[in-house]
Amino acid sequence: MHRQILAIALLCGAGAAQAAEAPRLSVTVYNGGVALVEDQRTLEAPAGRSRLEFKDVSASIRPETVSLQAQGLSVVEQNFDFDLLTPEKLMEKAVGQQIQIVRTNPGNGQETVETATVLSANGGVVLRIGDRIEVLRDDGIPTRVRFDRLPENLRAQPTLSVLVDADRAGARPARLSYLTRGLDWKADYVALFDEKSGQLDFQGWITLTNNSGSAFKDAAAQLVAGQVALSDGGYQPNRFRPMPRPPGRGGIAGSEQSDQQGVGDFYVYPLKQRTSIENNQTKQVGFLAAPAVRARKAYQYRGYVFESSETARSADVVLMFANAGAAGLGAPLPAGVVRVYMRDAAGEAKFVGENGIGHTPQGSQLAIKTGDAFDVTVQPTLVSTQRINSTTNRYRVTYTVRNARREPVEVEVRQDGLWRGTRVVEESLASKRVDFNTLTWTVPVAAGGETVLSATIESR
Amino acid sequence: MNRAAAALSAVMLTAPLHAAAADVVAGAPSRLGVVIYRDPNGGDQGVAMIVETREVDLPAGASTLRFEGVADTLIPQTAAVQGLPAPVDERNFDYDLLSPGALVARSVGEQVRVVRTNPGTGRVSEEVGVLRSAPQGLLFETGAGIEALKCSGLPERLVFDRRPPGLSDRPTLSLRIVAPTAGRHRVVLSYLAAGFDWKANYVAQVSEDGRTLDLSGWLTLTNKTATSFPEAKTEVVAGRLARSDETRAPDVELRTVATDCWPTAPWWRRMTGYAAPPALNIPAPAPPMAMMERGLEEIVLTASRKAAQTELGDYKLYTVPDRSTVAANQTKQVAFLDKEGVAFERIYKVGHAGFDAGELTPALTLRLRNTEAQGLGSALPAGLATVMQTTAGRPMLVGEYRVEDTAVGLPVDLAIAGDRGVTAVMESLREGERTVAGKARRFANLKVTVTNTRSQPAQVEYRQSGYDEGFKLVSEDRRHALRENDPVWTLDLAPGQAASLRYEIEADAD
Repeated sequence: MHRQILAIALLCGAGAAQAAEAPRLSVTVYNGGVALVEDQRTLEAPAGRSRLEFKDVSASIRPETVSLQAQGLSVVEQNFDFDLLTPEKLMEKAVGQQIQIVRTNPGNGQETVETATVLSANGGVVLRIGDRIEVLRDDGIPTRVRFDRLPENLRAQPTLSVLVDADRAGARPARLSYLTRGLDWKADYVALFDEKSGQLDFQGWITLTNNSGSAFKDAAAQLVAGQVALSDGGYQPNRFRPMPRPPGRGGIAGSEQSDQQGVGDFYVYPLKQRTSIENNQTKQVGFLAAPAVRARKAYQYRGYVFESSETARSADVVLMFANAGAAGLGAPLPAGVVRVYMRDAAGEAKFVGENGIGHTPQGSQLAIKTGDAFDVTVQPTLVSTQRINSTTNRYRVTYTVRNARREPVEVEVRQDGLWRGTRVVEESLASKRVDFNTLTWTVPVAAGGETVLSATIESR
Repeated sequence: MNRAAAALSAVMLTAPLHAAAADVVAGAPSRLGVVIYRDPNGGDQGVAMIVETREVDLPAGASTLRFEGVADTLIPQTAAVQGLPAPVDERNFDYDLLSPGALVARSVGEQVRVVRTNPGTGRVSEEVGVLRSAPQGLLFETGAGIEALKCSGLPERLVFDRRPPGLSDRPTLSLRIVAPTAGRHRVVLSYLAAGFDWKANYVAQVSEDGRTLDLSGWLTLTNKTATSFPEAKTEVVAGRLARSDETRAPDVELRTVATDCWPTAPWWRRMTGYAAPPALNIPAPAPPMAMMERGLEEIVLTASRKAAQTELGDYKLYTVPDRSTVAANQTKQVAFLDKEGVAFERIYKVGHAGFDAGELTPALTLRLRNTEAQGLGSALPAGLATVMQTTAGRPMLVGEYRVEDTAVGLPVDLAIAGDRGVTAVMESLREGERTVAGKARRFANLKVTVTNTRSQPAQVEYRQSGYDEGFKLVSEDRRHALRENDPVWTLDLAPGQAASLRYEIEADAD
């Protein structure tokens, strides 16, 4: 539809040169709601200075990022006019000018046409008609107002205009590029988990969303994975540089090589077919399918301080797998949401939870919490606190781990909040010190049973 | 790694998308399944997983396959289609909707007709011109000049010659595929949709002798969308799923046509920022909350048979007996629990904070153990429990209490308001300040006497909290347990029995 606007724009008499040919578009979409649009077209401009209007650019363009390059053409000035044309603005711009008013007599239907001068447009329109001063439609009689022209700089939609200086008249290839808001992409993953075989069927989809207000027809699209630092202000000069981001939570950053196209800290996913990205559209393209990824389910409980709880707390259910070639996956995973499905007793796949992952390089470990276990709970109790010296206390703690499931489980109990110099005095199961402030125990619990883990710990 | 690249190029090797693709509409859905998940935080972010089977006739070559009649709240990134003869090139969800605002906005710069009716003569006249501005106000240009429409007070209407392309009446899910051969396929479409919810409600009926209770449980399923799912296998999932706030239906913006005309306030009061005036966008229709306030249209009760419970991973799955229709704006209730003669203990909880002796109000809690031996032994999804007691042949409401997700084997506490079966009196035997290891310490020696006035045995849990710096229990005449770091004493009382507890506490003075 932009093309039609373009064609009609010539009627509008703005005196601007027009870029009438359909542009060849290339769109690079970044995570975080920004895209770089490159638009190649043939420009027709007379020799010397002229104004070019681009009405078919994105409605969410960031005008300060526009760059126009064409042979023998230099840009004098760029304007982005966003004063929208409304009846109100039209009347304001007509102050001091003549308009025509057409009154229709509601009794006999007769029309009378008069010429009036607009004196003011403040809280109503004051007109001079001949030697009379009147307020427009003061009597409620149907009155049409006719203006003889549209003022400049008022537009039906925000419009980019560029004042150029051309060395010669004629057509030349040109390249227009700019950033736009309203385009975003992320990855969505589908993980069908089979607990018995310990395998995941893992698929990745690119989800591209266009809420920019404009369509990008027949565009070459590519998606860049990596967080781009963007200033929030929008109309400030843009800062456009890569920012590294940590890998998915609970995971371990990877080191495996990938032959995905890399640009600096980014991965680029080109869509090899041209596609039309319509306005108000969510588009999905598959980019990854790994049918048998080794995976396991784990129960985890994390205590942040030594405490007692009056109620049993659900353990987290965590799906763990490696993004590694040897485990059946092994691809850089752009940030997105992993949705996990499992089969019910009737064999039907059902949604069992979802979680976000950050940009995850190859070789990373992924731990995705899918939810709280209904039947596996941990109830911590701080049995006693005893002061040993001015800096150290001796804590006696128990963790009652219960399992209402029909099969035995193992629960990883993590106790955070420890200090340097922590000493385990005694414990009913062997702990592992995973880092300076965390102890973990692996607690086996029989089907329908409970295990009480007890420990005495000296710490600050 | 090349799996990713291979998958990508497999997608790309197919014919170009813009080659003319056949438009195919998938057949009507059958064998529907609706699985409802509630918002783990109790809000309105509940979803349902919809599964349906459709017949699809695909020609050889490129086609655009559209699915009609899907939920209006479909979350596009969760859609999956199985059973297609080739990989999907791309999947699209379009929600650029036809509305008066979108119609005029897409017609800017196009030729339109204005039809006016003269109020005096009734004569209808028609004028052809070009729409110059919309929808922030309609400006219309003819050979005679420029006019604003709907500002004159005359009956005027705009007539368009065509419907702008690319605008649809409702959000549409489609996919592009290149089939190697023509053929009929049975495909399974599944997706998550917003606007669903379920709740669990319990009714505990305490028997007249006060020793057991009957516990019944109901599931209340709600479909707040405008889509009905006939003859669906209906299930709910109990437990807390991890959820992402990115899983939501896209915001559908409906554009309206601004009705502002000539200035009615001084321009300096009308100054607004850049871009489209806010009047252009109105929120998506029928927000679920508003719907709730207006009241849902229909409530269906299914009491005769209970929903069966099975396992789904680490959650509980309840299946509504028989296929049933989950209609638009409908609430459906189905029983899932019915236990008679459930044993419970009467526990009176008494709390005291600080040093000052004061009045104590024991509060009754009915403690159930979720075990088969005690007459229960079923997973209990979180929900509101209403406790009723029959007194002199009449049921009385005695309390309402929230039950959390409770696995088999765990206790369930139901608080009861206004029960005075146990009394508690506190005395301060000694109090004051003293110096301990060179530090000024405040202390109190307290005595608590509890009396069971009922004809059933009762247990009293007495809890002392201390928030003062250096708070410490110095001595006691019964052994305490720690509960959330507070000392708690448990006293078992036979009918009519009284018992006392004496302890001393201290803390830093000031």
